[in-house]
Amino acid sequence: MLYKVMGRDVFKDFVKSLISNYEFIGPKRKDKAVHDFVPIKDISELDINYKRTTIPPAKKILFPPDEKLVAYEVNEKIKVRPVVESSEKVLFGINAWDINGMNFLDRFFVTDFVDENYLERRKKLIVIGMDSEPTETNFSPSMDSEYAKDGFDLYITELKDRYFIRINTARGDEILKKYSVTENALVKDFKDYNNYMDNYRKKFKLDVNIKDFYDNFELIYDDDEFWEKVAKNCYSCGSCNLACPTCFCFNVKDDIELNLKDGNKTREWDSCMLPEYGLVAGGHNFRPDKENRLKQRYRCKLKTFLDKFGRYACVGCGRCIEVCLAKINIADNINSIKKEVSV
Amino acid sequence: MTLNVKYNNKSNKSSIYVPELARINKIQQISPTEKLFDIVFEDDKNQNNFNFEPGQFVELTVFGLGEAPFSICSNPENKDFFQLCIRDIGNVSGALHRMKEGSKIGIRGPYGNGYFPYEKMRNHNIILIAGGLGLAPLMSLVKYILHHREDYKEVMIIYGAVNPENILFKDDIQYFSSRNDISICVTVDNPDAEWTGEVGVCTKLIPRVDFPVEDTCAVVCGPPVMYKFVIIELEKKNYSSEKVFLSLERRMECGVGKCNHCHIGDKLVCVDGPVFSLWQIKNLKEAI
Amino acid sequence: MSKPKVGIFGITGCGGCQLEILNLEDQLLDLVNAVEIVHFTEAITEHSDNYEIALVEGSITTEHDVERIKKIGDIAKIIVAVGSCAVSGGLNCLKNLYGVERAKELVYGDKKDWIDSIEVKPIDEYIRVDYYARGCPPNRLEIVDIIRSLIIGRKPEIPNYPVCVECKRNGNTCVYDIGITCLGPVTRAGCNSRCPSSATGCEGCRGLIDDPNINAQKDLLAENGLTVEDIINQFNLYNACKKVEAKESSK
Repeated sequence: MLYKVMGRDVFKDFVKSLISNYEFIGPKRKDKAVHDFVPIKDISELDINYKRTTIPPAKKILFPPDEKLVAYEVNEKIKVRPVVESSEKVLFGINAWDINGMNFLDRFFVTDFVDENYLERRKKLIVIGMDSEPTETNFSPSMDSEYAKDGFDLYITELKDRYFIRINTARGDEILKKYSVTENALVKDFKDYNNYMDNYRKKFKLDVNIKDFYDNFELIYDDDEFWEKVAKNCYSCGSCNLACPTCFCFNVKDDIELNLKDGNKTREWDSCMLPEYGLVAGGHNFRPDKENRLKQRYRCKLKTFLDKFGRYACVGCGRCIEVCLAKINIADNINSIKKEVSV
Repeated sequence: MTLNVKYNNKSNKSSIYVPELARINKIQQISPTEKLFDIVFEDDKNQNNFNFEPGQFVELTVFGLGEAPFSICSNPENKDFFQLCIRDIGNVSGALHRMKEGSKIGIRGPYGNGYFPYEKMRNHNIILIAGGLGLAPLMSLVKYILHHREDYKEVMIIYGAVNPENILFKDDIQYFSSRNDISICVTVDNPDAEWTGEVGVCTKLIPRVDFPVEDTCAVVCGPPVMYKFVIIELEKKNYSSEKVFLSLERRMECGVGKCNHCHIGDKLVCVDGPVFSLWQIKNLKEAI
Repeated sequence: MSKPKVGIFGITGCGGCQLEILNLEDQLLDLVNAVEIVHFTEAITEHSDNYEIALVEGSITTEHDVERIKKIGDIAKIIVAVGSCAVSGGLNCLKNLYGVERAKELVYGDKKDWIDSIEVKPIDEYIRVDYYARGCPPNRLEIVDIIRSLIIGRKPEIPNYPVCVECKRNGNTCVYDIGITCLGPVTRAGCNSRCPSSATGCEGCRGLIDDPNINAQKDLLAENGLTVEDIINQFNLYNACKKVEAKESSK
């Protein structure tokens, strides 16, 4: 990691240069409720003071909601070819927990079998991080995610009169050299950065007691009353999964045009909360109840990948709490599991 | 960047989702609802490289229609072709049942790092317990064992079918009965007038097995409802939970550990299974 | 392989579903090449009673409709109900809420006895229906998918999940966040979240999913200021024939 500082006066020009030289994706106000990460053509569209966003930005780019994987032609002979499409992009203004969510997806999609569709896009994605205002449902400090130490090319922290920049890749260093003027960060800069981070962390109000969840979950797992209460109003609508920066479940479908010649395999986001998720040919459903599905979601988020990767599949962004019309609150539930077992 | 890519993909194809072209060489109707398909890759190179372990599965594409996982049921030592026993039950299987010999399909795989551990099972007595279509994946293990018969002690198959006409692999069963180094016991739920064999669920035959605890392995495959009852019977026998192996069915949509539909606890059936030891399963809530 | 013969029929409805098929633009030519359309009420003058697949729009509201739908049921091997009226009775069912006689009186006054009108029902009250292309109007791409599936021999995939799934895939703002109520959480998707994508609440034109959490939806609408009557009206707009307000979630 290299550390530099950039003056306020040159920051805007730096962003403008990026917009004119790259396919640039950044936050833009969508309506009174949310911002959305979209292609930005002019700096006036960019609004880095965002709070809520719709689809997590990195997931949207790297693992789009639907995507062609394979194309084929069915004639006398059948021709099959992979479809791997990617282009260089700058993702600007993504916050720390969403970078950590992306880091999880990075690890997931290249473990065991390498998913080229994801990897090719990831390699070409230039990630420039910036802090954003946490929402009331955000508990990322509890999940060690309010700070990103990896996964970005540049991370820009806004101090009072200058920007503190962490440079994580050679690519980031080159971009900075090419499009802006920076100076090495000195003791004073580090001091201000530390003060900033102390204050920033105070903005997160929600504290989640994730300690001991690993074991306590197994006890509460069989407590039907607990889960009936938690899942009572669950719509099985999958919003929690689909809005999650680390959820990766998908369906693969084969389709063919009406000419019955041009076919393809596509994938689309799926959700473990939908009843059909556990259904196999023949009609048996391995997870027919919403209680089972919710338990499975908590296990996947908070245990499975602790076993596999040594990290949670949850960065505490709080989106699943925000989008849940049934007000199912993973933070409250984690805390109440701890309480239930401690009493 | 945190990306730490280690390629473990067996093929060097540019995408894990691209199937290889294959041909259905032969189709046999072996029961009112099941057909047996002999499959050969179009490209000899793919056929020569296709080495599978007993218990592994492939993802089969019917172009334009869909893809589904099927366990391989033929002898792993047979390098000329491989076989799938398929019940007409879904979109893909239904389309396969309407296909003719010579039709082209797509194959990905073989998949499943958890196969029947025939290495560990050497010098053991083997009980194979199958219900219905669960006999199909076990057939590849039976055929492997018979191919290397001297490596194993006693071998016994317990097979339960709904009714006599649903009994699969009748020719093989007849052949096994003619050999004196493997015993097979078939039971049906609904006997017809000609049936002279056992009647009832396969679990009731387990108490009759008298293989010694210390050197016996059991292998189980059948419909989801069967496992709980078979496990109860096997536990009464005190077989080590590390020597009982069960093949689980789940929705293995991608086969390569990505789509997550077959997730149970910290395991993915497609990558970590589909065969698990009873010890592993005891540690996976909702597995059975 | 000979092309399947398809008849496209309109019973009592606005004709909009047939227009959706005509609106297929590029795909319309592919469709005409893939099947032989022998009857199409809104589009061709020829008509034929020789067809294998019938796409039927509209609900049954007169004795004459009953005769027509029964004839279609006798001829067609596969019947696809197209649009809310055919699938669930649709808006026409609002008539039933008044009772047939009262409705006739309200509309036709003293001429009401001249009118052939019966209680409104979806077509599956009279004949077997194999597939449902839901919605008002239906999603034309779903109609194509049903036809394509029939040609290649697979079961058409009609979503059994709520509209929320499509809203999330489309990156929509939840309309509840901008002060609009929506039936999306209990309504069957497949419309590509058409209304919420335009910042309008879902009115449930595709009907309910198989296991909707009706109690949760009632709580939600009540929290957003709706009275019990408002809520019943919301559910009834497209589903009056199905009497959903009485149906409770099984879980």
